[in-house]
Amino acid sequence: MIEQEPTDDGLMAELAAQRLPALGTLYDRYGRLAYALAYRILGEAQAAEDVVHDAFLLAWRGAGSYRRERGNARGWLLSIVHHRAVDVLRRKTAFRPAPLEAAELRAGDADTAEEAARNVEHQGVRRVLETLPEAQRRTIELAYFGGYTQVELAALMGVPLGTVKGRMRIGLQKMRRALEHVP
Amino acid sequence: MSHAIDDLELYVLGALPRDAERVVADHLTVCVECLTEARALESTVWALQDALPAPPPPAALRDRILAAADRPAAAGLPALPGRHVSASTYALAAAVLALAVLSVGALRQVDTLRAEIDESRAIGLRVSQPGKTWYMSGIDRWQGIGGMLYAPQGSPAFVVFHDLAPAPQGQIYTIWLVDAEGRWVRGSSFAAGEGRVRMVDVGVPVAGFDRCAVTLETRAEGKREGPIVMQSRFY
Repeated sequence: MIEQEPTDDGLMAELAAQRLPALGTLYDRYGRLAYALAYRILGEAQAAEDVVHDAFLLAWRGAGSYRRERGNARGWLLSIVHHRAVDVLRRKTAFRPAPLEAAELRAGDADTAEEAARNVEHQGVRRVLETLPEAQRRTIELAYFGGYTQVELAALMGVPLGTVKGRMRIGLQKMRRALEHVP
Repeated sequence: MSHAIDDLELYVLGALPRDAERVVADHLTVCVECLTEARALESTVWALQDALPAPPPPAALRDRILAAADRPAAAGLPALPGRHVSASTYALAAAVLALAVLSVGALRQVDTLRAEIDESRAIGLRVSQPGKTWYMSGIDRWQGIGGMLYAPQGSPAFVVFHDLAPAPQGQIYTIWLVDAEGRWVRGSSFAAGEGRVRMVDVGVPVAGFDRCAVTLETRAEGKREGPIVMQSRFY
């Protein structure tokens, strides 16, 4: 008899019941993605490993608070990873708004389009990112992968807060529309 | 009901300060319209995640996670993101931290321990008051140390430092507040003792300031001259 893989919702129910094998399955499903996200933000293997470790333990302990109607399991788990990685990054970095050139050097600020280009499975995402004007793309990347708040981004880029918001909004809208046509 | 539409892009990209983020998260629990939009934006952001190549995680990580989860309680982990952490939780965490630190000094003289326990109790009481906080992290050769500045409503602000070594001979630690225009205002100075957790009053009101730092100075007054030991982030 072929054993069927549990759905994400089934896994979360198992996790909430504190069944350890479910945590292993969740890791098998999303561990690599979680590590990639943490590594991209922090740029260090050890720090990324620690973040993923903490995130999965948080998921294990907090599975009872997971609500499907507020998002799926993948989103919930990766938001924990993102949150934790950004917190670690923010603790490590100085409070002063550095010049943009300095920000560009940070590990978490690498060019996502270029990285995507190296990842042959995701050429479609690369094409979508390349359709965005540079300012919109960098604003989105610096926020999501660089851990910068809107105030820091405004200071970094020398633009008003409204411009930061506008770049994010329009950039994400364009990505959303373009992704609808990516196979 | 007002909506959070204007902040949703910032929210899904993690570009809101944590307190503002909690406001949006709370709103999403009661507003289907904003939640639907947020979910759509999140799925767009996930495309960024999907695009990421990275070295595979270490093979031992899976076992490390499962072993830790199999232990009765994984201590020392932060709260889940998006959850409101009450002042009493901070107090409890501070007390646990203080007690954990105390356990390291279990071989010290009883009098020293008693003094540290008294100080830990005092810290626990003071951080239980509601108010604003800033975390300062050590930089350069001071990485690993830090201090949480607490500004309780209606009470003087203070900092709880951890892992702060005694100041070098002839130097003192000095607390500074920094306003939005980059003006530095001097707070109290201290030498730091042997205890690994230490509470110090800021010495000046924090209203109007949005950052803080600690430097090592050779003089007890005057402008900042010494190196920055720790600093808060820009919010």
